[in-house]
Amino acid sequence: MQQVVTGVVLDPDGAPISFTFENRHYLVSSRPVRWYSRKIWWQQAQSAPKGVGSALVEVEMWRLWATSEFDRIFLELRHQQPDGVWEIYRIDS
Amino acid sequence: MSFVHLNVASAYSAHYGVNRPEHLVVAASEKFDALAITDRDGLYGAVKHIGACIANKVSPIVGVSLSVETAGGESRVIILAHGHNKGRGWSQLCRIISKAHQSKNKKPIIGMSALVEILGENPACSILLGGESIVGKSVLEDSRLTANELSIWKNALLKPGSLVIEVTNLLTEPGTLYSEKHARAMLELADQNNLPAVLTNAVRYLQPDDALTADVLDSARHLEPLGLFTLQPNAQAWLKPVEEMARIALEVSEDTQRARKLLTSTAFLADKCRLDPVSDCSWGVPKTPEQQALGIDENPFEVLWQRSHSAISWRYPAVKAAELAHIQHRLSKELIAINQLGFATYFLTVADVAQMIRDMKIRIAARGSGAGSLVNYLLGISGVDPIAEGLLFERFLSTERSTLPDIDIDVESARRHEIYRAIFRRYGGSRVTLLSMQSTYRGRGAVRDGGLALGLEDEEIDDIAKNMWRFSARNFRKAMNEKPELARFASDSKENRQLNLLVDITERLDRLPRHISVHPCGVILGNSSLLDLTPTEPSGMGLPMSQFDKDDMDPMGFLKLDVLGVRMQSAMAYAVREAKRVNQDVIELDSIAKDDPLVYKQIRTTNTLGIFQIESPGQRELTGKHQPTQFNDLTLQISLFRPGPMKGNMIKPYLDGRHGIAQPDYIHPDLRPILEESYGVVVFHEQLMKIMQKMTGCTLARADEMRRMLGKDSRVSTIEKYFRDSALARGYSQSVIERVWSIIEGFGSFGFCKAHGAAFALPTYQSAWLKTHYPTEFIAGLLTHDPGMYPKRLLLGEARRLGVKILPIDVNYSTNEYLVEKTNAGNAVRMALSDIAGMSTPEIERIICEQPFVDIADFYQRARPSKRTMERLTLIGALDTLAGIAGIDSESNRADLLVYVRQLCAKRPKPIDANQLSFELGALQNLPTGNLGLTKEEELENELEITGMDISEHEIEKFQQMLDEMGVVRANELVNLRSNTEVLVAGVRVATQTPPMRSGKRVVFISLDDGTGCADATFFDEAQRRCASLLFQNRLLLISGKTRRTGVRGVSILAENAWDLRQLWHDWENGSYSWLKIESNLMIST
Repeated sequence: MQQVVTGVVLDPDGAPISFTFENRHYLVSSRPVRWYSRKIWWQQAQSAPKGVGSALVEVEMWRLWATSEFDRIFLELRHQQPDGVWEIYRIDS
Repeated sequence: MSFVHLNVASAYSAHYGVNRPEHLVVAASEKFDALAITDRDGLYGAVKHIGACIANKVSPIVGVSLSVETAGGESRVIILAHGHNKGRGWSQLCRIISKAHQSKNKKPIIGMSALVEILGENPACSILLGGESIVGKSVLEDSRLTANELSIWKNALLKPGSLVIEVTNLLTEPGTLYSEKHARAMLELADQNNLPAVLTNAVRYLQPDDALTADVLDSARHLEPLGLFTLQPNAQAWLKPVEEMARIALEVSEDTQRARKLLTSTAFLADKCRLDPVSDCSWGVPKTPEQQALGIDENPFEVLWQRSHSAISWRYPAVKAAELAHIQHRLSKELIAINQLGFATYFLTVADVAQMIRDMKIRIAARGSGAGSLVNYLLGISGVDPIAEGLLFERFLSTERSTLPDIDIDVESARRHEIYRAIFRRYGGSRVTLLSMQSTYRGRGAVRDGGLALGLEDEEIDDIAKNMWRFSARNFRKAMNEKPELARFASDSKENRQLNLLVDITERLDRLPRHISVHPCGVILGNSSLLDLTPTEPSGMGLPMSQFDKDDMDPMGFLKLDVLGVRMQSAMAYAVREAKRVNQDVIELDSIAKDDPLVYKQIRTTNTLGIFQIESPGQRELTGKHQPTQFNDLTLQISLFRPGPMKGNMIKPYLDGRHGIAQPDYIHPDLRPILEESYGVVVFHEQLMKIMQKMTGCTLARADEMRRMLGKDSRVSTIEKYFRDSALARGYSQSVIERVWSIIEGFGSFGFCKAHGAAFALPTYQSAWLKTHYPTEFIAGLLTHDPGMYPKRLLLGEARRLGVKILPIDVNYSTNEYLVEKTNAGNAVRMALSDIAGMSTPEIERIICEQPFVDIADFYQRARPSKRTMERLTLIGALDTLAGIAGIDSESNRADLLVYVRQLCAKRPKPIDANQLSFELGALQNLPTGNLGLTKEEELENELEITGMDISEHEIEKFQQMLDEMGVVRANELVNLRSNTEVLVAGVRVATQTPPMRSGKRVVFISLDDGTGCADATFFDEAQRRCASLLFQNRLLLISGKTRRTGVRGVSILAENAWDLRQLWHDWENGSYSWLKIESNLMIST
């Protein structure tokens, strides 16, 4: 089961500012770096009609440091489409 | 703030870019005032890009993505041509690309020294080092390597501005190629080295959605399924708008000031590269060989005038004064128009080529609207008399239009490469290139490459591809829900995720350029600056080929000459040669009278197999109904049997008028002279032009202009108003105007150029003439050059029907051609060695070279065939005479010979020694006896397997007992049956066609050959559903249906069902024969 972060607040450019993870409230404490990773659509997708291509091919990722009352963690967040869920892809503390 | 994309691959970067240049430009025109195209390895999409830019008011920029070899290794870089320098940039770009394609490597690549040499002291191109260069690849990992490589480039390109660093941020994983960090490192590198930097997005597609298509294209390029090669990093390489690019500039530079500097230097380079199409690329300026290249000193127009006038006595000997005046008047009219358009050199060039071809003793004929020109007839470019056939010059060329006219010439296909080489020799390599052709994805290709990407099994893809008929890939999903042969696939795809995906990606690939190849007939003839205007690459033929295709010719002002190889011309030339070689008959095919009643009689039997243009099942049916009696009838028939007239329901009124069933309706007495030849039906463009001229008083040139505009919706109302007003003013009644206009309006897609029809009718008549008077020689020509749509085995059937004798393959007499041989019983055709499966060209050449042979061992030793070939030759009887077993009273048979041959092959032949005789290999008396001989059936099977032809008897014979029991009707008996008779026919499928129909519904025509002739069956919807996949797959078929009389000698079958003949045979032999099933089916349908 993927770990999920909730209550993500974004700035006007779509970059995360704060979020909640395991009941702790985190503030993003570095300039978050946006990047896009690959998806292996040919193993997952049911269909690929015109218009859905980019969501099948790539997924938005954010690499950032975040700080809560208790700790500072390094995170890679994956912003899934089309449901908009934020998943933790990698975590180091 | 502005931004210009300087690195954009279009779909003409085959298997890389996703969108056509036109689409990219249209999308860009809303946001950008300039756009580059930088296709991989060439300018394949450049002309279309420039054309679209002009139309959309965007400045065109053109470059290439090309590999360059330096001392440090290989780099792929972007090379952009500078503009507004009288073509210096464009010319350097072309020459760099051409040079790269001359590389000895498998792929195009140019060495640094060659690059520098072309750029010279004053480079008019900029080179962008980006992510695919060594500099870009190493910048994050190995600063020493980066510095080294960069210094090589800096030392080579000294002029400021010619070397540029390309900064690209595709938002990939931080720290990898094309990441933000990578882009920043590139920017810093530029700053440290005092080089300009530009921001690009290394664009491969228009929108993020297209990235998925790019994945599939990558798979096709790598020839590997997805997952087995390195994927594109994400879906970011799209044509991002200005704001997004500005944001990226800021993210990369982390500083407003530096971001602005990056965008400014990008705009600066873009400005330098904006092209002026006319002064830089010679856009639209016609270019023809210089006078001296044509060997002319005087004014070209005067030369043209003289040459055409002096040819009148050649083309029209003994002409009367009144007619001569008419000819001269028409000639003057044409010459004046040609002069006005400045095309004299063009006509002289084409005439020069035509003369050169004739001097090479190669058959030549014109095709297309060019046959409508008297000048072309007099110069010997065309062989059709435009005056006698009523053809109009204005349809071909008019002062209302200034595009270069198309003159297409047909030559013997077997000798066309000779002609291309001669053209190169005559005009020099700097003025001539071959034309290229982009093939694009269609249904089957798309499904194959889509299947490959998904990793489907080859057989699975094959099965799907086989059933893809007559629809474009973009409508795959729609088609699979409608077409019976795809029904199974449709239901499978509901269950199978991969198959469902396959449908979507197949649709995505539709129409994308797939690969470039030599155009089958196009040659570009230019002036000595041709190689400054088009990049070239080697073709399979060894001659250079332009990277531009036929649609690029007119915009670039290039004279394209279509020298099309036509197999029928080769077949006819061959027949003429054989008649001379064997019988010393001299045939002047181009001067035979065109009114030989025997020829038309032969055509009217509908046994038109092998006759040019009228041998297809549809044409055969039409021949039966039409019953042509003169040359003009052939022109009409060829013009009528086209999708347009068929959809427009023009054939029936024409035939009714011709056979006196209905009174022709000429609408108005004025139109009678124009429409008399086609019984009131408007068939030809020329007729429409004359109607317009008659009723409105306009010139023929103007009439043709209006005819061309009928296809454009926006112009139709203007033409309508003009027509109605002018006709009314000239006193035509409202009802006449109404009726004529409705014909004109609907004419667009129906009509045909009469000149084109007449040009085609000439070889039709000539081939029919040969078939009538020299059937043996003609069949030999057809078999040797295989010009038609049918398999050779069907030609053998036709030979049997005509009583032409066929001699079996014999190693002492057969060659790589079907020779005509004199026998005691007249001339006969000797089967050739060339159709033996698996026999190599050197093997055939050795046999021809070493003939004759004294015995089998001699043959084996001197011709040195492989064991397999030796066995095959034995099995088909090619060694029978040599072995002395040809006669019926021979002691040994072919099976004995096979045993002997196998023994012989077990011994290794010694090196050839002229003095050594073949005794030691065993002489003929050693031939064994007593082996069980081959049955007739086995012999036939061997023939079919080895040569693809049933030489000794027809393939269907073996089923005859079953077919007789079933009451199957022979094809030649159909004509004697009443209409609506229930019949069964059986045979070998020889043609399958799905022509477009008036109703829009699909109809499938299948022709079966049973040795007595062809039975043509028509499958409508319901019948198609009944036999589903059988329809396009099985070769041997039994078809049930009802006869349908279509004319005096025309009968076709309205099919009800079809069965696999082999399956039936199998059941019949096992006694589990399902005759009852067929019978009950017949009963239900009656």
